[in-house]
Amino acid sequence: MTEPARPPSEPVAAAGDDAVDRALVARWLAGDEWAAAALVERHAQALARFAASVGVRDDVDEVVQDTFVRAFRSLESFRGDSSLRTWLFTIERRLVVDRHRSARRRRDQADVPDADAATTATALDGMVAEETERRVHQAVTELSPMQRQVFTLRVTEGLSYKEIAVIAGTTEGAARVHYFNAVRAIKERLDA
Amino acid sequence: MRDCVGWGEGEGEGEGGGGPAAGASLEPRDLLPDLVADAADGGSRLSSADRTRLLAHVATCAECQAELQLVRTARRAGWAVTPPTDIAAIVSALPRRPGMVGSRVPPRAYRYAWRIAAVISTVAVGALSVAVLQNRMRPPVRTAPSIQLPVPAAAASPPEVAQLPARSPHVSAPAHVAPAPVGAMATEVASTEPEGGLEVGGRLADLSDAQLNELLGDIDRLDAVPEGEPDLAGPALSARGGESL
Repeated sequence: MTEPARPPSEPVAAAGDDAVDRALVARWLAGDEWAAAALVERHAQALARFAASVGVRDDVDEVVQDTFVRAFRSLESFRGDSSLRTWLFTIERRLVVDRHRSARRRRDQADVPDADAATTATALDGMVAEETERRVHQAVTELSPMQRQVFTLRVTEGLSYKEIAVIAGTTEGAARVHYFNAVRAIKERLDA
Repeated sequence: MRDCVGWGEGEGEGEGGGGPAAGASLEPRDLLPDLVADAADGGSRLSSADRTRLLAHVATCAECQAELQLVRTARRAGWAVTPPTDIAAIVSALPRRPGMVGSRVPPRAYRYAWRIAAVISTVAVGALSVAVLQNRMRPPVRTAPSIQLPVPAAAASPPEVAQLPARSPHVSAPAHVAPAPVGAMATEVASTEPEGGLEVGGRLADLSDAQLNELLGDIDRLDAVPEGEPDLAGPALSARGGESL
């Protein structure tokens, strides 16, 4: 197996960079198109990871692009109650849910997300180099969709329970429960 | 493995941004993802005090040590499978706002564009400087022979000009006239005309309306048109440059 291409650095936009995002949004609203490119560059990778974690397979790029298009169409309505990244995750999650529903109607399948998750695990396993990382990743992909979503946002993206609750459409308490259940399930998988 | 019993005596309660709420329900395990994320991206999800308190707890808690390792591994695994994204394609698909400035160029390319612009500006300034120097070394334009116009007596020899010392043929504008860089060449050329020719510069401004009308009438009656083009085969340049031999 070849060594996977790791990101050269940590996220372009770390959590806590809300002020930078707000400034870029203001510049874009004022007509500066370069601000849009900067915003995309800051958040595209995180959105791609999240899309993969919730079961998007081959068309991650398309989902990320649609997320940005939707976001920029309504960027004037972004009030900054949450961080921009949380808002983008929320839009992307709705988008993925809509796509799953459409796919389910077309294919008359009962539970597309779980089926996608299994396929995603197979497809992405090859990208993980180390055995331990591969096993952890495999265990994550076998979580329930909600657990996987919460665990990914909490661990991979470093979001707070409050932010996760907004994205997942749940409460902070429920997000915390999902997280601890996910950690327990992963440990059990690794110990098995 | 001993289960984590939470914050021990004297460890206090964490109040980091990762917990569901600041307060009694927050456990050390809640903050482990924040500890890892802060270390990775330099964020400040945990305060310095919370980080110190959490690290002290982890040092004595085997379960939290194991879970910290799990969180680190899971984060690395999550980052390792980051699907590639085409930033340029995404940006090109974004809606444009009315009156957008700039182009759909990512910031990195934007920086290169500035460098290119700087080079072009430098070259342009250099070329302009050469052109100006060449103009200064070019012999004065030969215009039509002096035309003696009836100049009103009031404007014939204004005191300001009359008092100027004739130290240089290049000095032509009265002292009270502000310098005009763009017209400096034309003024210099006009100054080479013999005394008594058509005076240009501030003197016209001294004429009254009636005098101007009379002057314009005289010009209309002229039957000769001065040459507008310089004589390229004109006199050679002197060593001093700019003056006819």
